[in-house]
Amino acid sequence: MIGFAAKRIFGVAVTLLVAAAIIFFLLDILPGDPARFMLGINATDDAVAALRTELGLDQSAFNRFFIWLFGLFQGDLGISFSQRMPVTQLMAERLQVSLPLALGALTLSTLIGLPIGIIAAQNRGKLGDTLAMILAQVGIAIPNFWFAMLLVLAFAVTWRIFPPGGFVPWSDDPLLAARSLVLPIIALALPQAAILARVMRTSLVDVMQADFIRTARAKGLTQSQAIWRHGVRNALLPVLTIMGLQFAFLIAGTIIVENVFYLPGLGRLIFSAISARDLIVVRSAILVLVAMVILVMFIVDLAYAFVDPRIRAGGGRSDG
Amino acid sequence: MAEQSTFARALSHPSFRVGLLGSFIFILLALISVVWTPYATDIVDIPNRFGSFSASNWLGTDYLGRDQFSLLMVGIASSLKVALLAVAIGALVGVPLGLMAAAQRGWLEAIILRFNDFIFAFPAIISAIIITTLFGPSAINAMVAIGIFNIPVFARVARGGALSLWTLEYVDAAKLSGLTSAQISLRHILPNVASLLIVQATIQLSLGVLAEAGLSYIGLGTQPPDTSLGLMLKEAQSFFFGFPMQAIIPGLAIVLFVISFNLLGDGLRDTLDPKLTRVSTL
Amino acid sequence: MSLVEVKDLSISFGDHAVVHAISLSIDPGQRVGVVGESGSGKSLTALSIIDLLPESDKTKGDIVRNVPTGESLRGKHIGMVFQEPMTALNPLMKVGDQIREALELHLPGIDFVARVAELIEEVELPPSVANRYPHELSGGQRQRIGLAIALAGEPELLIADEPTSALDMITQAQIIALIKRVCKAHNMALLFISHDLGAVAALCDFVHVLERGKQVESGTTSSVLKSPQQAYTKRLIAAAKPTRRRLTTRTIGPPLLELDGISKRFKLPGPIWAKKSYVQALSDISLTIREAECVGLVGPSGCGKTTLSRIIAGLQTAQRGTIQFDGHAYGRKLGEMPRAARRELSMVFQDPFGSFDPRLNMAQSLYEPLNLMPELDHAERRERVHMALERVGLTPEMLKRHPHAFSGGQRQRLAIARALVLRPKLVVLDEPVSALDVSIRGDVLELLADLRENFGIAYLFVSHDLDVVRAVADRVLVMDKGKIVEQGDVDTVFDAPQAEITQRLLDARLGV
Repeated sequence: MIGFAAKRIFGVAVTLLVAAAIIFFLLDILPGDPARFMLGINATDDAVAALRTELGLDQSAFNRFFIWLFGLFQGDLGISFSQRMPVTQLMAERLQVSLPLALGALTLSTLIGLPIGIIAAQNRGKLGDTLAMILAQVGIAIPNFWFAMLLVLAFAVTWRIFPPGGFVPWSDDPLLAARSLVLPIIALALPQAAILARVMRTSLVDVMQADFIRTARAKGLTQSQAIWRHGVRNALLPVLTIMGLQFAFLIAGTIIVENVFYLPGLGRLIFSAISARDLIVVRSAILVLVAMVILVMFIVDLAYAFVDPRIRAGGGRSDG
Repeated sequence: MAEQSTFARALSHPSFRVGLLGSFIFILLALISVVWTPYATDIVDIPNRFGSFSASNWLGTDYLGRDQFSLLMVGIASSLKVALLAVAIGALVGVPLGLMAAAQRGWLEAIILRFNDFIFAFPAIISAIIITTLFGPSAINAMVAIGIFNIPVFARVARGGALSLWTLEYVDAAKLSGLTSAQISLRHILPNVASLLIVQATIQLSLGVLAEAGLSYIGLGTQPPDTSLGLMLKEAQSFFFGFPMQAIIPGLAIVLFVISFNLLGDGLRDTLDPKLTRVSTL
Repeated sequence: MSLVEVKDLSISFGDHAVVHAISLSIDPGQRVGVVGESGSGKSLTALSIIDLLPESDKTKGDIVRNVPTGESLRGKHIGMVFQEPMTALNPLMKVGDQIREALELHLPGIDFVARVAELIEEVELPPSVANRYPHELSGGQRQRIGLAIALAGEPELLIADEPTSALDMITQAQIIALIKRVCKAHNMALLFISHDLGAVAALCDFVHVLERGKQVESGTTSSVLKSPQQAYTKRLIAAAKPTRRRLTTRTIGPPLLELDGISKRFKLPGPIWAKKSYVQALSDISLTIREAECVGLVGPSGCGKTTLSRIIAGLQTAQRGTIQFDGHAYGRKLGEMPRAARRELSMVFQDPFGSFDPRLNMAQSLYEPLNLMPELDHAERRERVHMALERVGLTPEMLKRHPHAFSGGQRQRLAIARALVLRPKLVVLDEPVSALDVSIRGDVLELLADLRENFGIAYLFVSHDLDVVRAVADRVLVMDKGKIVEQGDVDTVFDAPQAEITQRLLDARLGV
C-alpha cells in the first residue's frame, strides 16, 4: 500500500509539473509580449517597459517559469496587476467560498446518490426503481445553474427561506455565510446525485449477476445479505472512478453557479481577471483549479487501492 | 449481424423510441431554423418586449421584443452545432489514439494513457478560460474546449473495447494472413467497437449541449447577436424575478433536449450490449 | 429414505422449455452424476435443487428435500461448488473470512478461527491461505476454498457443478480425488454435474445422461458404461475413446520444420526504475516436424506449449534461436519470417466462437488469407476458397452467412477450411477439439486425419488431452517449465514414460 502510494505521489508530482509548464507556456509565452498583451494596444511604451520590469520579462522564460514555480511552493504567486494585491491573498479569500461549495456538493451528492442507487438496484424493475431512474434521468439533464435559478425563485423570492445571493465572510457571521451556501450546494449536488445514483445502480445490477454472489447465496445468505456484504463493496469500484471525474465537473459547476448567487468565489475572480487581462491572476487561479482536480483523482486512486487488494498488489488500476 | 435487425430491436425498446422521437424533433427544429423561422431574430421591437404567450408569438417575446420561439429554434441549432462539432473533434482525435494504444501497447500506449489522464484534469471550463483569455470569447472557443475534453473520453472507450478484441482468435487469424496492425484495426477492430462509440457519442452530445449552455451562460461561449440556449438563459437572468418565463422556457428546452439524447443512448446501449440485456445465463 | 427426490421436473424461460420432466433421487451418502453437453439443462436442474433458480424461470414438478423444516436449506443441508474458480469468490475479501461467513450463519458459537483452519486443512491447503485474497491463489486453490465454503455448514448433500472444467488435467484429478475423499469421510451425498464422462465415472456410483433437457438414460455407472442402451450414450462413450488413425497410403517425408535453440522470456510488469524481472517461457527448444507428420505437443498448463506454438505459427518471435521452415531460415539473427514462408503455414484455433469476426460474412473471412498471395486473380481465389470448403464437407452457399448462423462444429470446419485456403504444408492445431461438444469431436478429428492422408499436410497438434494425442499423433513432445522433457513415438512415450511430468499427466487421465 505504501509503495503504491509512493508511486502515485510521484505520478501526481510529474502531472502537476507538466500542467504548470503548459499553463505557463499558454499564458506567458504564447501571447508574445505579456506586458503588451495585458496593457492593450493603446498603452505607451513607457508603461509597457515599466510592466516588463515588474513582471521580470527581461529574464529568460525558463527562469521566469522556475521563479513562478518556487514562488508557488513558498505561497508567493506575485502581485495582481489589476487589483494590486498579492495573488495568494486574493485566492485564499476566494477559496473560502469555492472550497466549501465544492466539498459540500460532493458530500451531499454522495449521501443522496449512492443510497438511492443501491435501493433502486435491489428493487430492480419495480415501481420504486422506475420512479428513481426517471427522476435521475431528469436530474442528469438539468443544467445546474438553471436549477439554481429555479431554487432562488422558490426558496429566496417566493418563500424567503434562504438569501437569494451574496456572501458574508465567515469571520463576520458564520451562520449567515453557511446559509448563503445552502442553495448553491443543493443546486450543484442534486444533478450530481442523479448521475451517481444511476452509476451505482448499473454497477450493482451488474455485480448482482456475478458468480460470487451466487456462491454467497449458496452459502446460505439471503439475497439482500449477499448484496450488502458482497455486492455493494464490489459495485463501488466503478462508482469511485466516476466520482473522481465528477469532481472535475463540480469544480466547473461552482464557477458557473457562483454567477447565479453572486458569490465571491474563484470563478468570479477569474472572470474579472480575464476582463482586466490580468494574466498573473489567471495563470495561478487555473493552476490551483487543475491541482485540485489532480489531487482528487489521486485520492480516488488511493481509495481504489484501499478497497481493492488486487490494485494494492499490482501497483496500478488497469485502464479502460 | 445485420444493422437492420439491431435497429428493429432498438425500436422495440420504449426509451429508445421516446429518445428517437425527441431527438428527431429537436434536430428538425434546428434544421428548419437554418432556412426559416416564424420571425426574424435580429429585429428589435421594444414596445412588444416581454410579451406573454399568444397566437402570434407562441412562447412570447424576449427583452428586445424578439419572438421567443424563433430564438429557441436558432438557439437549439447553435447549441447542437457546438455539441456535434465537439463530438467530432473528440472522436476524430480520440478514436485513432485509442485504437493505436490498443494495437501497439508498450511505450506508445503508456504515453497515450498519460496524455488521457492529463486532459481529464482540464475540464472544458478551464480550457475555455485559457482560450478566452488569449483569443476572446466565441462559440468556436466553447466548441474547441468541449472537444478537447471529449478526446480522452473517446480514446478510453476505443482502447477499452479494442483491447478485449485484440486477444480474440480472429485477430490472430488476420495476423497470420499478413495483415498489418493498422489494417486489422480498420477491418476487424473499428467495426466491432463502433457500437460502443456510437453510444458514447450520444452521451457526449448531450453533455456537450449542457456544457455549451454553461459556457455561454458565463460568457465564454456564443456571443450576441448570435444566440444559443445558454446565452438565452444569461440574457434572461437580469429580468428573472420579474419575468421568470424568460429563463424557464430555454431551460426546459435544454432539459428535454438532453433527456432525448440520453434516452436514445440508453436504448442503443441496451440493444447493442448483450451483457446488460442477458436475463440469466448458465 | 432418499435425501432428495426430484419428480418430473420441467424448467422453462418464458415459452422456451429447457428441462423436460427429469426425475432423479439421491440417497444419503450416495454419489450421483449427471452428464450432458452444454445446453442440456444439467446446471438448471442442480440450481433448482438448491433453490437458486432465477425468479424468471418457471418450474413444474416436485422436488422433495428431506431436511428438517424451518432450517436454512442452502449451506446448512446442501452445499454447492461452482464451475468458475476465477469469479466464484469475492475478490475483495480474504478467503478465510469467506469461509468464516458460512460458519457464522450455520454454526454460531463455535471457535470460528479454529474451524476455518480445520476446513483449510481438510481441503489440503496450507494454513496461511486464510489471510490471502482470491487473486493471490491459483485456480485449483480457489476451487479448494470453494469446497471449504460448501463444507462449512456440514451439509448432507454436496452439489458440484462442473467444478473441474476450468482447471488443467493434473489439478482436475487432484480436485476429483479430494471431493471423493471428503464425501466418504463425512458420508456426504454428492450430485456431480459434468460434460466429462471420465470425471463422472471416477466419482459416481450412479449416472443420469441428459440430452437437450431430456433424460435419455439412467443407471449404475458401471452398467451404463459397459452396456449403454441409447444411441446418444453410445456416442458419448465412443467420443471419450477416440479412434486411432494412422497414415495408410502416404509415408512421412523429409524434415519440414526445424527449430534450433529457441528461447523466449517475458518481462514482468513493474515500475520503470525497478530491477527488471523475467519469466523464462521457453528455454533452448529444438524440434523437428517432417512432411505429412502429425506431432503432438502436451504438457501441464503454463509449460510454454502455447508460446511455442505461437512462435512456430509466426504470431510471436523468439529472443534466441533459429527456425528452418520449408527452405526458409529465420529467427532473431536471421530476420523476420518471410512472406513466402507464411503462406505455407496456417493455424486452427481452440474457440470456434472467437475464430471469426462476427461482423464479416464467411466469404470475407475465408478470402482473408489470400492477402498473402496477391498474384492470384479473382477466378483462382474463388477456386481455392470453394475447393477448401468442399474438402471440409461444406458448400459455397454458406459463404454469404455470418458466423452466428453456424453451430460450433460447423465453425470449426470453416476454420479448418480457412486454414486450407493457402494449401499450407504445416497447420498448427491449437486444442482444435477441446471447446467442442464431445459428440462432434470425433467428426472433426476424422476430417483432420483425412486431410493429412489426402494432401500430406503436417500437423503440430497442441492438446491437453492425452487420449486424443495418442489417437492422432505419430510422435509426441512433452513440455514442462519451458523445456521439452521427453519426445518420441506416442506409444513408446505413453507406455513407458521417462519424465516425471509425463507420468503425472498419464495418472491424471480420467478414462471411461
